[in-house]
Amino acid sequence: MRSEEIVLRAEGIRKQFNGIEVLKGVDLEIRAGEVNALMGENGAGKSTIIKIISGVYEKDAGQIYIGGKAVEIKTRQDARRYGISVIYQELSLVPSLTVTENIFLGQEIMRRGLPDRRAMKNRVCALIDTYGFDLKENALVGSLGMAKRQMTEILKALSQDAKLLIMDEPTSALSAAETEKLFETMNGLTARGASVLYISHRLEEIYRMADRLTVMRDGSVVGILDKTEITPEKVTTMMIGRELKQTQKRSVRRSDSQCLEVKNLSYKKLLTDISFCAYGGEILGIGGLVGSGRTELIHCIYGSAKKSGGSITLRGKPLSGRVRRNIKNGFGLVPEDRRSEGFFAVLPVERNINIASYDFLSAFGAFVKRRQEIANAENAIDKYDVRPAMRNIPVENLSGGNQQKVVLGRWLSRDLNVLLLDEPTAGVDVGVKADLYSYIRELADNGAIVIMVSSDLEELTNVSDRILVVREGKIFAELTGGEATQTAVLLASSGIREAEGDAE
Amino acid sequence: MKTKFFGLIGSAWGQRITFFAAIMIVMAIFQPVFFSWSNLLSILFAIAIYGIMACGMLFVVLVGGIDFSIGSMAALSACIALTFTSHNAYSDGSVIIAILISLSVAIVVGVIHGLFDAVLKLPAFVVTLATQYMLYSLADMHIGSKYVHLTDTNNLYYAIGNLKVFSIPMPVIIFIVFAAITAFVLTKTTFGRRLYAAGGNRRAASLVGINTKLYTVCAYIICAVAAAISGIVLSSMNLTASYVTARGYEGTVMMAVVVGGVNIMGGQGSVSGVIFGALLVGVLNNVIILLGISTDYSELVQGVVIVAAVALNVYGATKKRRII
Repeated sequence: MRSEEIVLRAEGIRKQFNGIEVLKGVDLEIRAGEVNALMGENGAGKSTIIKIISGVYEKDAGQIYIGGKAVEIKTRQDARRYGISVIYQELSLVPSLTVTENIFLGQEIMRRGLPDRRAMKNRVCALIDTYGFDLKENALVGSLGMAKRQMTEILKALSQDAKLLIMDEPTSALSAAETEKLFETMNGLTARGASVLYISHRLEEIYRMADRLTVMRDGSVVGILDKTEITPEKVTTMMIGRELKQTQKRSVRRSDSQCLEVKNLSYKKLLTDISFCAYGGEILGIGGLVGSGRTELIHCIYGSAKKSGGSITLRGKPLSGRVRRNIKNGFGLVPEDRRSEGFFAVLPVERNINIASYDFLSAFGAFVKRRQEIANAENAIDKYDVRPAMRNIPVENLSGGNQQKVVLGRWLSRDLNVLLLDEPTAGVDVGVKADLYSYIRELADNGAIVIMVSSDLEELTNVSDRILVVREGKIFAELTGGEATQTAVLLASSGIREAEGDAE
Repeated sequence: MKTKFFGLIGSAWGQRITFFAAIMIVMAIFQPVFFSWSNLLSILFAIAIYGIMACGMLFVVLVGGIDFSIGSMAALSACIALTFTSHNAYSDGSVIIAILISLSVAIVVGVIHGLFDAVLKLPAFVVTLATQYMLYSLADMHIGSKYVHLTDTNNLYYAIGNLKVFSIPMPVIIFIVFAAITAFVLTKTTFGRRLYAAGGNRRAASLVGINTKLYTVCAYIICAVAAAISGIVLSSMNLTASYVTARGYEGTVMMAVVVGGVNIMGGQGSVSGVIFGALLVGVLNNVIILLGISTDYSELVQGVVIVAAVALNVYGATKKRRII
């Protein structure tokens, strides 16, 4: 159903945040009835351009045309009026209401001052029929799976006559079967002339679904590929650009005796037959897509997830499945979501730093040694440059980077053998990032084992000495030395080995 | 100089002191009898009972829970303890044993509450509201009549509520001891540190090796035991117990906790705050009576003051400068 008719055209869109240019003149063109995929690394500006199109942010410069006419999109309402709808990742549905009630929430069809249930029901049924969705109009949203909830969101958009649906990583929370369903839904949409702007990190989805691909890097569009032109190499080269080879060679003093060995590890259906060794002195990076099982792997090692099979040993001795025991043996974890798993928002900096260290900050394990407690906290604040350098303010009052310094300081102030990091610098500004890397490197140089999960390719390739790429619960590739490039990691995450260049 | 002064007024303690000063001035003008020893003593009695309960409640709220059954817990334990102090078929009337039996029941109730919250993950609000009714009913069934009286005024049980040491009444001493222990546990022990952490963020706490379920259960046990102790003290003071003993106290205690600046979401709060809360609630009740405000209005006045105090807390919190 693709036509040359252009639904939305954006020209020279610019946007600054605090003087930093995030979008440097972005041109975007979406045709009627097409799935236009948008790819780019984290920070390339994908979300920013979407937010400008959908009226969340205001652009600094540039022009947007809808159906050939110049328009100003200042609010979400404006965007909706022009037929642009965003299907959000955190769905905005009310679980206790039915599909129909959700679709018409806040814009009920009224008759004589009362909601006209029949009219609304008919409208929803008609939409379901038209697009061939597998959905019941009277189902409670709370009883539906993620895919059907997304369908409901899509229906909601369609009920408002959306011509362009923007989907931001819609498959990240879906199972394989649900992903299939979503793709069917998307095909139904485009067949009826609606357009989809589709953001994803998954190359295989892009090959399959996209009619055209727009690639962004550093705030600009670096290329537009037609369906036939899309190849993994082309896409990754465009996304990453000219890759700067590491100039300074690191001398890693790997100690093979200090070894964490994972053998045939499995965890539920998420991890199967994972085997590898991590050595003292090196930073072992773990790459892969979100949802590939990276985080679960870290939690299995730490003891916070119960492995289903296999063994994990440190210097030949099997690990305890208990977090507390492992911490005592020198383990530490910087979890993925700082706010919900890492720090205690209402507790002061001091408590956040000391909370894992009462084995040596207490007498008989029961009574707090106040003086040591203060010293330990002040030491960590000073050493890891937490700002402001106050131990009594709640951590929630610190910036993201300083919050992460506190979480990291909690572990670095202990005698660590193994440090597990999951997205250690997510949402941290550049200056603090460099600090965090130097602390992590120092720890490794002192002989500790460091395992770091990261979605940030630059971070992964620059900081790690060796990289394992996890894909669909298995270790897909091990990249060492010169092989460990961003391109190689990106390709391996999508199941492609660089040497062969073929899809799996 | 000026900013320093306003800084003090703006601080939590500044507000508290100001508030009390205002009450004192009003009372000095309108009802000097407020300052009589006997009146102050009666305030102290009330504060002692609320205060013990509030200290127990503090543990539960810190860990992110709530316990609405404390009033009925007090009633049940008072009834149990009193019946076992009199000689009958089941008991030789040993006061110590009677109290131990009563406290054991409280421990069981605490464990049940804790398991419901930590393991079954049911909302504590609903669970403890339900057990509140069950405990009243149990108290009623246990005594089998309307009241049970303390007949022997020469035993230890009588002393709990009525003895004076250096003219300080026993209930006040019990309260002070209980508050001191609470303060010690919360500020000087690893148990306290981990309790705050478990309440501040359960997931993060379990990721630093804290057994959050254990801490939650412990908090509910402490709360139930505190309620039981205050029930026993109350029945000794009144020389009687029934299933209406301490009825409705949970509301007053919640007020004390909230007014004391404890974060109802868990992880934040102090004993000093709770003592302040209990003081305020006790003084307020007394002032309302002394000023001759009819009981019809007294609850209205209480409500207004509570909302004002909480608003002050919240407003103060949001006004805090965000440090980046």
